[in-house]
Amino acid sequence: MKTAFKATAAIVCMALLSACDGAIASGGFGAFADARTPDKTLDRGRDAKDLSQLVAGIWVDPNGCEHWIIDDGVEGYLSQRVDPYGKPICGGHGAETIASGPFKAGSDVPDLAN
Amino acid sequence: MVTGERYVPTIWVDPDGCEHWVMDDGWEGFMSLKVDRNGLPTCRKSSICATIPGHAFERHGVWMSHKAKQQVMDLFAKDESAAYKVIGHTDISGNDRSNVRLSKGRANMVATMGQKTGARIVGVDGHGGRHPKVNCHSHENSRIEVYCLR
Repeated sequence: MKTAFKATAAIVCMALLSACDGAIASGGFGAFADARTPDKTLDRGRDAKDLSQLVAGIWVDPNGCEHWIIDDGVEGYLSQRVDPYGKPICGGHGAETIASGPFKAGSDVPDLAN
Repeated sequence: MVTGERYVPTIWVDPDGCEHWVMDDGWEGFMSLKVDRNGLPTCRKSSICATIPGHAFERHGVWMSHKAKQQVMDLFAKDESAAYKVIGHTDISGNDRSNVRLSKGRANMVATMGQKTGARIVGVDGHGGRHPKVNCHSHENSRIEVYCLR
């Protein structure tokens, strides 16, 4: 349900973008269009905030290794949890594919699932 | 012709203190672990909450005195972390394979002491002399680190 919502949202988003990206493309070689590209370091949705403020939980993958999971309303983030030497943290113990912790705490945008 | 869109990330610091690249382009969010060019994570603080020096063990071996074992058990008993990872290191002299074996054996010894106090151990590693604390022949490099996990 959530995926379907996102897909719809993406199409709407692309339609909006395509109205103005012609000028960027015609800039040619090296035209990265700084001024036209919005800042990616901010959540610009209705619950706008700096991305460094995200609140994470833990998701355990099918191999038993942990990932930081953040459900920030519309956006979702997932990134590996490692020790200081880069090795994965793998506790497992039956918690595979389970997400736990306050990973939905950072936003009041509800999930559309269920 | 090269067309591209600039994606400038910001940095999110996870509860362990390690950095991740994060970007939000309105609807989608993107995130990836930030590593240096050797593949090591970049961490602002260390969640290593205890270090047991190499001299707590017998020379070139894994055994500990009764007193040292008790001290390790006290360390675990006082801490309230959800889980622990134990990471062993030796000094940088000698043969890599035997250093790895020794550091892993010592880390296993510490992990066993932790388990006796009811601590949950989620990993035991031995890195030998590959990650020295100081870049010279120092006894400081021989150590067992306990990584506290929330």
